[in-house]
Amino acid sequence: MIANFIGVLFDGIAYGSLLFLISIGLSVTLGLMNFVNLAHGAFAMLGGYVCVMLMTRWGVPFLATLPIAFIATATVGAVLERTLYRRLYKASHLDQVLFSIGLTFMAIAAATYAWGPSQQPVRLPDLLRGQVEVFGLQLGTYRLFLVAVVVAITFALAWLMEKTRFGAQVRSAVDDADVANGVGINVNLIFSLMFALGTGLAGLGGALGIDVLGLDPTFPLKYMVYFLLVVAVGGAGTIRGPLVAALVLGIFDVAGKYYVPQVGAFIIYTLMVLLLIAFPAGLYGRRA
Amino acid sequence: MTERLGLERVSAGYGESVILDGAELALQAGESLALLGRNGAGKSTLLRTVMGLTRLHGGTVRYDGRDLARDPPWKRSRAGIAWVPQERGMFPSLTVDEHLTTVARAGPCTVDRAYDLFPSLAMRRSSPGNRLSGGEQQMLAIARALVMNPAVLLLDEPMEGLAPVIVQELKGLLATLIGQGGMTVVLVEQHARLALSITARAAVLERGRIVHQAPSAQLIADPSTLQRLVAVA
Repeated sequence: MIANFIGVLFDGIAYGSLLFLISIGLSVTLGLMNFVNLAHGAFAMLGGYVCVMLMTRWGVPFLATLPIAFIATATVGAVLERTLYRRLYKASHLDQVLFSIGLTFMAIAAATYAWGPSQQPVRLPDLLRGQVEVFGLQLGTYRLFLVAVVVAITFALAWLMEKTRFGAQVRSAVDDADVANGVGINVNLIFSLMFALGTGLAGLGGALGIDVLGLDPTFPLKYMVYFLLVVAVGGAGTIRGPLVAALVLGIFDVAGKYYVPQVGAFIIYTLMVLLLIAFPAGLYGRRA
Repeated sequence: MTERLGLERVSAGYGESVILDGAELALQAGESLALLGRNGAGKSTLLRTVMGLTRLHGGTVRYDGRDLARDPPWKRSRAGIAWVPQERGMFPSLTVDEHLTTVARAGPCTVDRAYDLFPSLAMRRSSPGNRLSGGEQQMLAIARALVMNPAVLLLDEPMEGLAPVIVQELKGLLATLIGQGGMTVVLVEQHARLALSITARAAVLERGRIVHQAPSAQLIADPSTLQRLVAVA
Protein backbone atom coordinates (compact mmCIF):
# COMPACT_ATOMS: atom_id res chain seq x y z
CA MET A 1 0.00 0.00 0.00
CA ILE A 2 2.68 2.46 1.06
CA ALA A 3 5.02 1.23 -1.68
CA ASN A 4 2.20 1.64 -4.12
CA PHE A 5 1.58 5.19 -2.94
CA ILE A 6 5.26 6.05 -3.25
CA GLY A 7 5.25 4.60 -6.75
CA VAL A 8 2.32 6.84 -7.73
CA LEU A 9 4.01 9.81 -6.08
CA PHE A 10 7.19 9.09 -8.03
CA ASP A 11 5.32 8.81 -11.33
CA GLY A 12 3.64 12.12 -10.53
CA ILE A 13 6.99 13.75 -9.86
CA ALA A 14 8.39 12.42 -13.13
CA TYR A 15 5.33 13.66 -15.00
CA GLY A 16 5.51 17.02 -13.25
CA SER A 17 9.21 17.36 -14.07
CA LEU A 18 8.42 16.92 -17.72
CA LEU A 19 5.61 19.48 -17.54
CA PHE A 20 8.01 21.90 -15.88
CA LEU A 21 10.71 21.41 -18.50
CA ILE A 22 8.27 22.12 -21.31
CA SER A 23 6.42 24.97 -19.57
CA ILE A 24 9.38 26.98 -18.28
CA GLY A 25 9.79 28.60 -21.70
CA LEU A 26 6.14 29.66 -21.64
CA SER A 27 6.72 31.24 -18.24
CA VAL A 28 9.70 33.09 -19.69
CA THR A 29 7.85 34.51 -22.71
CA LEU A 30 4.92 35.53 -20.52
CA GLY A 31 7.02 36.99 -17.71
CA LEU A 32 9.71 38.63 -19.82
CA MET A 33 8.03 39.69 -23.04
CA ASN A 34 4.47 39.67 -21.71
CA PHE A 35 3.61 37.46 -24.67
CA VAL A 36 0.89 34.79 -24.57
CA ASN A 37 2.42 32.08 -26.71
CA LEU A 38 -0.18 29.37 -27.21
CA ALA A 39 2.07 27.77 -29.83
CA HIS A 40 4.59 26.81 -27.17
CA GLY A 41 3.52 23.15 -27.31
CA ALA A 42 4.30 23.10 -31.02
CA PHE A 43 7.99 23.63 -30.18
CA ALA A 44 7.83 20.67 -27.80
CA MET A 45 6.26 18.60 -30.58
CA LEU A 46 9.01 19.67 -32.98
CA GLY A 47 11.62 18.45 -30.53
CA GLY A 48 9.81 15.12 -30.37
CA TYR A 49 9.76 14.71 -34.14
CA VAL A 50 13.42 15.72 -34.43
CA CYS A 51 14.23 12.95 -31.96
CA VAL A 52 12.12 10.34 -33.78
CA MET A 53 13.44 11.32 -37.21
CA LEU A 54 17.06 11.15 -36.10
CA MET A 55 16.52 7.73 -34.55
CA THR A 56 14.45 6.07 -37.29
CA ARG A 57 16.00 7.64 -40.42
CA TRP A 58 19.61 8.02 -39.41
CA GLY A 59 19.96 5.60 -36.54
CA VAL A 60 21.19 8.23 -34.11
CA PRO A 61 21.14 6.88 -30.53
CA PHE A 62 18.35 8.25 -28.32
CA LEU A 63 20.64 10.08 -25.89
CA ALA A 64 22.48 11.79 -28.75
CA THR A 65 19.19 13.07 -30.22
CA LEU A 66 18.38 15.04 -27.06
CA PRO A 67 20.94 17.87 -27.45
CA ILE A 68 20.15 18.01 -31.17
CA ALA A 69 16.42 18.34 -30.41
CA PHE A 70 17.28 21.19 -28.03
CA ILE A 71 19.46 23.02 -30.56
CA ALA A 72 17.07 22.49 -33.49
CA THR A 73 14.00 23.83 -31.67
CA ALA A 74 15.99 26.69 -30.11
CA THR A 75 17.13 27.69 -33.60
CA VAL A 76 13.61 27.54 -35.04
CA GLY A 77 12.41 29.51 -31.98
CA ALA A 78 15.07 32.18 -32.48
CA VAL A 79 14.22 32.55 -36.18
CA LEU A 80 10.46 32.82 -35.50
CA GLU A 81 11.10 35.29 -32.66
CA ARG A 82 13.12 37.54 -34.97
CA THR A 83 10.71 37.30 -37.88
CA LEU A 84 7.23 36.94 -36.35
CA TYR A 85 6.90 37.10 -32.56
CA ARG A 86 8.82 40.35 -32.19
CA ARG A 87 6.20 42.23 -34.20
CA LEU A 88 3.51 41.34 -31.69
CA TYR A 89 5.22 42.19 -28.38
CA LYS A 90 3.33 45.47 -28.17
CA ALA A 91 0.09 44.01 -29.57
CA SER A 92 -2.92 43.17 -27.41
CA HIS A 93 -3.12 39.77 -25.75
CA LEU A 94 -6.04 38.89 -28.03
CA ASP A 95 -3.88 39.50 -31.11
CA GLN A 96 -1.11 37.38 -29.58
CA VAL A 97 -3.56 34.57 -28.81
CA LEU A 98 -5.01 34.63 -32.31
CA PHE A 99 -1.55 34.70 -33.87
CA SER A 100 -0.14 31.89 -31.77
CA ILE A 101 -3.23 29.65 -32.00
CA GLY A 102 -3.00 30.11 -35.79
CA LEU A 103 0.63 29.07 -35.62
CA THR A 104 -0.42 26.02 -33.58
CA PHE A 105 -2.92 24.87 -36.21
CA MET A 106 -0.32 25.39 -38.93
CA ALA A 107 2.13 23.29 -36.93
CA ILE A 108 -0.47 20.52 -36.52
CA ALA A 109 -1.23 20.53 -40.24
CA ALA A 110 2.46 20.55 -41.14
CA ALA A 111 3.22 17.66 -38.77
CA THR A 112 0.29 15.63 -40.15
CA TYR A 113 1.50 16.26 -43.69
CA ALA A 114 5.10 15.38 -42.92
CA TRP A 115 4.74 12.46 -40.54
CA GLY A 116 1.12 11.33 -40.72
CA PRO A 117 -1.50 11.35 -37.99
CA SER A 118 -0.34 8.30 -36.05
CA GLN A 119 1.54 8.00 -32.78
CA GLN A 120 5.31 7.94 -33.19
CA PRO A 121 7.23 5.12 -31.57
CA VAL A 122 10.33 5.70 -29.53
CA ARG A 123 12.75 2.94 -28.70
CA LEU A 124 14.55 3.74 -25.50
CA PRO A 125 18.04 2.34 -25.03
CA ASP A 126 18.18 -0.83 -22.92
CA LEU A 127 20.01 1.09 -20.27
CA LEU A 128 16.92 3.23 -19.59
CA ARG A 129 14.31 0.47 -19.73
CA GLY A 130 12.88 -1.65 -16.99
CA GLN A 131 12.95 -0.99 -13.30
CA VAL A 132 15.59 -0.35 -10.71
CA GLU A 133 15.35 -1.01 -7.03
CA VAL A 134 15.90 2.04 -4.84
CA PHE A 135 15.56 1.51 -1.07
CA GLY A 136 13.47 -1.58 -1.71
CA LEU A 137 11.14 0.22 -4.12
CA GLN A 138 10.77 -0.68 -7.78
CA LEU A 139 11.07 2.54 -9.79
CA GLY A 140 10.93 2.97 -13.56
CA THR A 141 14.46 3.58 -14.82
CA TYR A 142 13.35 6.01 -17.49
CA ARG A 143 11.30 8.05 -15.03
CA LEU A 144 14.28 8.20 -12.72
CA PHE A 145 16.37 9.41 -15.65
CA LEU A 146 13.74 12.06 -16.47
CA VAL A 147 13.75 13.41 -12.93
CA ALA A 148 17.56 13.47 -12.86
CA VAL A 149 17.75 15.40 -16.15
CA VAL A 150 15.19 17.94 -15.01
CA VAL A 151 16.89 18.39 -11.63
CA ALA A 152 20.19 19.05 -13.40
CA ILE A 153 18.58 21.51 -15.82
CA THR A 154 16.77 23.30 -12.99
CA PHE A 155 20.04 23.83 -11.11
CA ALA A 156 21.75 24.99 -14.29
CA LEU A 157 18.91 27.45 -14.96
CA ALA A 158 18.97 28.76 -11.40
CA TRP A 159 22.74 29.24 -11.67
CA LEU A 160 22.37 31.02 -15.01
CA MET A 161 19.69 33.36 -13.70
CA GLU A 162 21.08 34.06 -10.23
CA LYS A 163 24.86 33.88 -10.57
CA THR A 164 25.83 35.12 -14.01
CA ARG A 165 26.03 38.57 -15.54
CA PHE A 166 23.66 37.41 -18.27
CA GLY A 167 21.13 36.36 -15.63
CA ALA A 168 21.36 39.74 -13.92
CA GLN A 169 20.73 41.41 -17.28
CA VAL A 170 17.66 39.22 -17.84
CA ARG A 171 16.33 40.11 -14.39
CA SER A 172 16.90 43.81 -15.00
CA ALA A 173 14.97 43.56 -18.28
CA VAL A 174 12.08 41.86 -16.46
CA ASP A 175 12.10 44.51 -13.72
CA ASP A 176 12.10 47.52 -16.05
CA ALA A 177 12.81 47.06 -19.76
CA ASP A 178 13.05 50.81 -20.47
CA VAL A 179 15.59 51.52 -17.75
CA ALA A 180 17.56 48.37 -18.65
CA ASN A 181 17.69 49.57 -22.25
CA GLY A 182 18.71 53.03 -21.09
CA VAL A 183 21.65 51.73 -19.05
CA GLY A 184 23.11 49.83 -21.98
CA ILE A 185 21.49 46.39 -21.80
CA ASN A 186 20.45 45.05 -25.21
CA VAL A 187 16.97 44.02 -24.14
CA ASN A 188 15.98 42.81 -27.63
CA LEU A 189 18.92 40.42 -27.76
CA ILE A 190 18.08 39.16 -24.28
CA PHE A 191 14.51 38.52 -25.40
CA SER A 192 15.73 36.55 -28.43
CA LEU A 193 18.15 34.46 -26.39
CA MET A 194 15.60 33.72 -23.69
CA PHE A 195 12.95 32.85 -26.27
CA ALA A 196 15.42 30.47 -27.94
CA LEU A 197 16.34 28.94 -24.59
CA GLY A 198 12.67 28.48 -23.67
CA THR A 199 11.72 26.87 -26.98
CA GLY A 200 14.88 24.75 -26.87
CA LEU A 201 13.92 23.39 -23.45
CA ALA A 202 10.41 22.72 -24.74
CA GLY A 203 11.93 20.78 -27.63
CA LEU A 204 14.10 18.81 -25.22
CA GLY A 205 11.01 18.14 -23.09
CA GLY A 206 9.09 17.00 -26.17
CA ALA A 207 11.85 14.55 -27.06
CA LEU A 208 12.20 13.27 -23.50
CA GLY A 209 8.44 13.04 -23.18
CA ILE A 210 7.60 10.81 -26.15
CA ASP A 211 7.60 7.76 -23.91
CA VAL A 212 5.37 9.43 -21.30
CA LEU A 213 3.17 11.91 -23.19
CA GLY A 214 3.17 10.26 -26.61
CA LEU A 215 3.77 12.08 -29.88
CA ASP A 216 1.29 12.79 -32.65
CA PRO A 217 0.29 15.96 -34.50
CA THR A 218 -2.37 16.91 -31.93
CA PHE A 219 0.28 17.17 -29.21
CA PRO A 220 0.33 21.02 -29.06
CA LEU A 221 -3.44 21.17 -28.46
CA LYS A 222 -3.70 18.13 -26.21
CA TYR A 223 -1.21 19.49 -23.69
CA MET A 224 -1.76 23.22 -24.16
CA VAL A 225 -4.03 23.33 -21.12
CA TYR A 226 -1.42 21.63 -18.95
CA PHE A 227 1.33 24.06 -19.96
CA LEU A 228 -0.96 27.02 -19.39
CA LEU A 229 -2.02 25.62 -16.01
CA VAL A 230 1.59 25.37 -14.88
CA VAL A 231 2.22 29.01 -15.72
CA ALA A 232 -1.15 30.28 -14.48
CA VAL A 233 -0.81 28.48 -11.15
CA GLY A 234 2.95 28.99 -10.74
CA GLY A 235 3.16 32.59 -11.87
CA ALA A 236 5.06 33.89 -14.86
CA GLY A 237 8.67 35.01 -14.93
CA THR A 238 10.11 32.81 -12.19
CA ILE A 239 11.69 29.35 -12.04
CA ARG A 240 10.40 28.31 -8.64
CA GLY A 241 6.71 29.04 -9.31
CA PRO A 242 6.28 26.86 -12.39
CA LEU A 243 8.45 24.14 -10.80
CA VAL A 244 6.22 23.86 -7.73
CA ALA A 245 3.06 24.16 -9.82
CA ALA A 246 4.20 21.49 -12.30
CA LEU A 247 5.06 19.06 -9.50
CA VAL A 248 1.75 19.65 -7.71
CA LEU A 249 -0.23 19.26 -10.93
CA GLY A 250 1.77 16.21 -12.01
CA ILE A 251 1.30 14.43 -8.70
CA PHE A 252 -2.42 15.20 -8.42
CA ASP A 253 -3.07 14.26 -12.05
CA VAL A 254 -1.33 10.89 -11.78
CA ALA A 255 -2.73 10.14 -8.31
CA GLY A 256 -6.24 11.17 -9.37
CA LYS A 257 -6.22 8.98 -12.45
CA TYR A 258 -4.85 6.07 -10.43
CA TYR A 259 -6.99 6.19 -7.29
CA VAL A 260 -10.26 7.68 -8.60
CA PRO A 261 -10.23 7.00 -12.33
CA GLN A 262 -13.92 8.03 -12.69
CA VAL A 263 -13.18 11.65 -11.82
CA GLY A 264 -9.42 11.63 -12.39
CA ALA A 265 -9.50 14.00 -15.33
CA PHE A 266 -11.35 16.63 -13.33
CA ILE A 267 -8.99 16.71 -10.40
CA ILE A 268 -6.37 19.04 -11.82
CA TYR A 269 -9.03 21.50 -12.99
CA THR A 270 -10.56 21.55 -9.52
CA LEU A 271 -7.08 22.04 -8.13
CA MET A 272 -6.46 24.89 -10.55
CA VAL A 273 -9.65 26.68 -9.54
CA LEU A 274 -8.82 26.31 -5.85
CA LEU A 275 -5.21 27.44 -6.28
CA LEU A 276 -6.14 30.42 -8.41
CA ILE A 277 -8.75 31.52 -5.87
CA ALA A 278 -6.13 31.25 -3.12
CA PHE A 279 -3.25 32.76 -5.16
CA PRO A 280 -4.72 34.93 -7.95
CA ALA A 281 -1.24 36.05 -9.13
CA GLY A 282 0.19 32.53 -9.04
CA LEU A 283 2.10 30.79 -6.26
CA TYR A 284 5.17 32.97 -6.76
CA GLY A 285 3.72 35.48 -9.19
CA ARG A 286 5.60 38.64 -9.96
CA ARG A 287 2.81 40.18 -11.91
CA ALA A 288 -0.86 40.18 -11.09
CA MET B 1 35.69 73.10 -28.48
CA THR B 2 33.57 70.61 -30.33
CA GLU B 3 29.90 69.94 -29.92
CA ARG B 4 29.24 66.82 -27.85
CA LEU B 5 25.46 66.78 -27.77
CA GLY B 6 23.11 68.69 -30.04
CA LEU B 7 19.35 68.89 -30.44
CA GLU B 8 18.03 70.48 -33.59
CA ARG B 9 14.31 71.33 -33.89
CA VAL B 10 13.50 68.20 -31.90
CA SER B 11 9.86 67.22 -31.58
CA ALA B 12 9.15 64.11 -29.58
CA GLY B 13 6.65 62.47 -27.26
CA TYR B 14 4.89 59.22 -26.52
CA GLY B 15 2.67 57.64 -29.17
CA GLU B 16 0.94 60.47 -31.00
CA SER B 17 1.42 63.05 -28.26
CA VAL B 18 3.99 65.81 -28.80
CA ILE B 19 5.75 66.97 -25.62
CA LEU B 20 8.99 68.39 -27.01
CA ASP B 21 8.10 70.82 -29.76
CA GLY B 22 11.08 72.25 -31.61
CA ALA B 23 13.72 72.05 -28.87
CA GLU B 24 17.17 73.39 -29.76
CA LEU B 25 20.24 72.82 -27.60
CA ALA B 26 23.98 72.47 -28.08
CA LEU B 27 26.46 71.30 -25.46
CA GLN B 28 30.25 71.30 -25.68
CA ALA B 29 32.46 68.59 -24.30
CA GLY B 30 32.90 69.03 -20.55
CA GLU B 31 30.14 71.62 -20.27
CA SER B 32 27.51 71.58 -17.52
CA LEU B 33 23.91 72.65 -18.01
CA ALA B 34 21.03 73.16 -15.60
CA LEU B 35 17.82 72.30 -17.44
CA LEU B 36 14.99 74.18 -15.74
CA GLY B 37 11.29 74.60 -16.30
CA ARG B 38 7.92 74.09 -14.70
CA ASN B 39 6.29 70.70 -14.23
CA GLY B 40 5.26 69.25 -17.56
CA ALA B 41 7.54 71.56 -19.57
CA GLY B 42 9.26 68.50 -21.06
CA LYS B 43 12.51 68.24 -19.06
CA SER B 44 12.34 64.48 -18.46
CA THR B 45 11.09 63.95 -22.00
CA LEU B 46 14.14 65.80 -23.33
CA LEU B 47 16.50 63.48 -21.44
CA ARG B 48 14.52 60.40 -22.48
CA THR B 49 14.61 61.62 -26.09
CA VAL B 50 18.40 61.84 -25.94
CA MET B 51 18.35 58.22 -24.68
CA GLY B 52 15.97 57.17 -27.47
CA LEU B 53 13.15 56.20 -25.14
CA THR B 54 10.53 58.47 -26.71
CA ARG B 55 9.05 58.66 -30.16
CA LEU B 56 10.95 61.17 -32.28
CA HIS B 57 8.47 63.04 -34.48
CA GLY B 58 10.98 65.37 -36.10
CA GLY B 59 14.39 66.99 -35.83
CA THR B 60 17.80 65.55 -35.04
CA VAL B 61 19.63 64.41 -31.91
CA ARG B 62 23.38 64.50 -32.53
CA TYR B 63 26.14 62.99 -30.42
CA ASP B 64 29.73 63.73 -31.39
CA GLY B 65 28.44 64.96 -34.73
CA ARG B 66 26.53 61.77 -35.49
CA ASP B 67 22.75 61.51 -35.92
CA LEU B 68 21.42 59.09 -33.29
CA ALA B 69 18.01 58.54 -34.93
CA ARG B 70 18.62 54.88 -35.76
CA ASP B 71 20.41 53.93 -32.54
CA PRO B 72 18.42 52.03 -29.90
CA PRO B 73 18.79 53.22 -26.28
CA TRP B 74 21.36 50.56 -25.28
CA LYS B 75 23.65 51.62 -28.13
CA ARG B 76 23.46 55.27 -27.07
CA SER B 77 24.29 54.21 -23.55
CA ARG B 78 27.26 52.18 -24.69
CA ALA B 79 28.41 55.05 -26.92
CA GLY B 80 28.86 57.11 -23.75
CA ILE B 81 25.55 58.69 -22.73
CA ALA B 82 24.61 57.75 -19.16
CA TRP B 83 21.16 58.40 -17.74
CA VAL B 84 20.05 58.67 -14.14
CA PRO B 85 16.29 58.25 -14.50
CA GLN B 86 13.67 60.07 -12.53
CA GLU B 87 12.59 57.98 -9.54
CA ARG B 88 15.99 56.28 -9.78
CA GLY B 89 15.07 53.25 -11.93
CA MET B 90 16.11 50.60 -9.43
CA PHE B 91 15.91 46.92 -10.37
CA PRO B 92 14.23 45.16 -7.41
CA SER B 93 15.65 41.76 -8.30
CA LEU B 94 19.25 42.93 -8.63
CA THR B 95 21.62 43.46 -5.72
CA VAL B 96 23.58 46.69 -5.33
CA ASP B 97 26.63 44.90 -6.67
CA GLU B 98 24.75 43.56 -9.69
CA HIS B 99 23.41 47.04 -10.48
CA LEU B 100 27.01 48.13 -10.97
CA THR B 101 28.71 45.05 -12.42
CA THR B 102 26.10 44.43 -15.14
CA VAL B 103 26.63 47.85 -16.68
CA ALA B 104 30.26 48.72 -15.81
CA ARG B 105 32.54 49.60 -18.71
CA ALA B 106 36.28 50.12 -18.84
CA GLY B 107 37.51 53.50 -17.64
CA PRO B 108 38.79 55.34 -14.60
CA CYS B 109 35.60 54.83 -12.57
CA THR B 110 35.66 51.15 -11.65
CA VAL B 111 33.09 49.48 -9.40
CA ASP B 112 35.59 49.71 -6.51
CA ARG B 113 36.06 53.42 -7.18
CA ALA B 114 32.27 53.88 -7.08
CA TYR B 115 32.19 52.17 -3.68
CA ASP B 116 34.91 54.58 -2.52
CA LEU B 117 32.70 57.48 -3.60
CA PHE B 118 29.64 56.00 -1.85
CA PRO B 119 30.82 54.10 1.24
CA SER B 120 27.24 53.46 2.37
CA LEU B 121 26.65 51.42 -0.81
CA ALA B 122 29.78 49.40 -0.17
CA MET B 123 28.24 48.19 3.07
CA ARG B 124 25.09 47.03 1.30
CA ARG B 125 26.57 45.23 -1.71
CA SER B 126 24.24 42.27 -1.52
CA SER B 127 21.01 44.14 -0.70
CA PRO B 128 18.31 44.24 -3.38
CA GLY B 129 17.97 47.62 -5.11
CA ASN B 130 14.54 48.39 -3.72
CA ARG B 131 15.52 47.71 -0.08
CA LEU B 132 17.74 50.79 0.05
CA SER B 133 16.72 54.13 1.52
CA GLY B 134 15.78 56.89 -0.91
CA GLY B 135 19.20 58.49 -0.57
CA GLU B 136 21.01 55.21 -1.09
CA GLN B 137 18.88 54.45 -4.14
CA GLN B 138 19.83 57.81 -5.61
CA MET B 139 23.49 57.19 -4.88
CA LEU B 140 23.21 53.80 -6.56
CA ALA B 141 21.53 55.35 -9.61
CA ILE B 142 24.39 57.85 -9.87
CA ALA B 143 27.05 55.21 -9.18
CA ARG B 144 25.49 53.03 -11.89
CA ALA B 145 25.89 55.90 -14.35
CA LEU B 146 29.47 56.65 -13.26
CA VAL B 147 30.77 53.08 -13.70
CA MET B 148 29.72 53.33 -17.35
CA ASN B 149 32.48 55.96 -17.61
CA PRO B 150 30.29 58.12 -19.82
CA ALA B 151 31.09 61.23 -21.85
CA VAL B 152 27.63 62.66 -21.16
CA LEU B 153 25.77 62.36 -17.86
CA LEU B 154 22.02 63.05 -17.83
CA LEU B 155 20.56 63.49 -14.34
CA ASP B 156 16.79 63.61 -13.92
CA GLU B 157 15.90 65.24 -10.59
CA PRO B 158 18.51 63.42 -8.53
CA MET B 159 17.69 65.43 -5.36
CA GLU B 160 13.95 64.73 -5.43
CA GLY B 161 12.58 63.55 -2.10
CA LEU B 162 15.91 63.40 -0.27
CA ALA B 163 16.74 64.64 3.21
CA PRO B 164 18.57 68.01 3.23
CA VAL B 165 21.78 66.51 4.55
CA ILE B 166 21.84 63.97 1.69
CA VAL B 167 21.05 66.74 -0.79
CA GLN B 168 24.12 68.65 0.43
CA GLU B 169 26.26 65.53 0.11
CA LEU B 170 25.10 64.81 -3.45
CA LYS B 171 25.43 68.46 -4.39
CA GLY B 172 29.06 68.40 -3.28
CA LEU B 173 29.69 65.25 -5.27
CA LEU B 174 28.06 66.61 -8.44
CA ALA B 175 29.99 69.88 -8.08
CA THR B 176 33.22 67.86 -7.91
CA LEU B 177 32.28 65.77 -10.95
CA ILE B 178 31.41 68.89 -12.93
CA GLY B 179 34.55 70.66 -11.71
CA GLN B 180 36.75 67.87 -13.08
CA GLY B 181 35.45 68.88 -16.52
CA GLY B 182 35.70 65.46 -18.14
CA MET B 183 32.00 64.86 -18.51
CA THR B 184 29.24 66.84 -20.14
CA VAL B 185 26.52 67.08 -17.49
CA VAL B 186 22.83 67.91 -17.93
CA LEU B 187 21.06 68.38 -14.61
CA VAL B 188 17.25 68.50 -14.55
CA GLU B 189 16.17 69.90 -11.21
CA GLN B 190 13.11 71.41 -9.56
CA HIS B 191 15.28 73.35 -7.12
CA ALA B 192 16.53 75.92 -9.64
CA ARG B 193 18.94 77.67 -7.26
CA LEU B 194 20.60 74.42 -6.29
CA ALA B 195 21.08 73.42 -9.94
CA LEU B 196 22.35 76.86 -10.92
CA SER B 197 24.86 76.92 -8.10
CA ILE B 198 26.81 73.96 -9.48
CA THR B 199 26.43 74.36 -13.27
CA ALA B 200 28.00 76.74 -15.77
CA ARG B 201 25.03 77.28 -18.05
CA ALA B 202 21.27 77.13 -17.80
CA ALA B 203 18.46 76.53 -20.24
CA VAL B 204 14.76 76.93 -19.52
CA LEU B 205 12.12 74.75 -21.15
CA GLU B 206 8.58 75.92 -21.63
CA ARG B 207 5.92 73.91 -23.44
CA GLY B 208 8.52 71.72 -25.12
CA ARG B 209 10.82 74.52 -26.30
CA ILE B 210 13.97 76.13 -24.95
CA VAL B 211 12.85 79.70 -24.26
CA HIS B 212 15.84 81.11 -22.40
CA GLN B 213 19.55 80.36 -22.17
CA ALA B 214 22.05 82.13 -19.94
CA PRO B 215 25.15 81.50 -17.82
CA SER B 216 23.99 80.04 -14.51
CA ALA B 217 25.65 82.82 -12.50
CA GLN B 218 23.78 85.45 -14.48
CA LEU B 219 20.41 83.78 -13.94
CA ILE B 220 20.98 83.30 -10.24
CA ALA B 221 21.79 87.03 -9.94
CA ASP B 222 18.54 87.95 -11.64
CA PRO B 223 15.79 86.68 -9.33
CA SER B 224 12.95 88.38 -11.19
CA THR B 225 13.76 86.63 -14.50
CA LEU B 226 14.24 83.34 -12.69
CA GLN B 227 10.92 83.85 -10.91
CA ARG B 228 9.16 84.62 -14.17
CA LEU B 229 10.61 81.59 -15.98
CA VAL B 230 10.46 78.77 -13.48
CA ALA B 231 8.46 79.69 -10.40
CA VAL B 232 5.24 77.81 -9.92
CA ALA B 233 2.41 80.06 -11.08
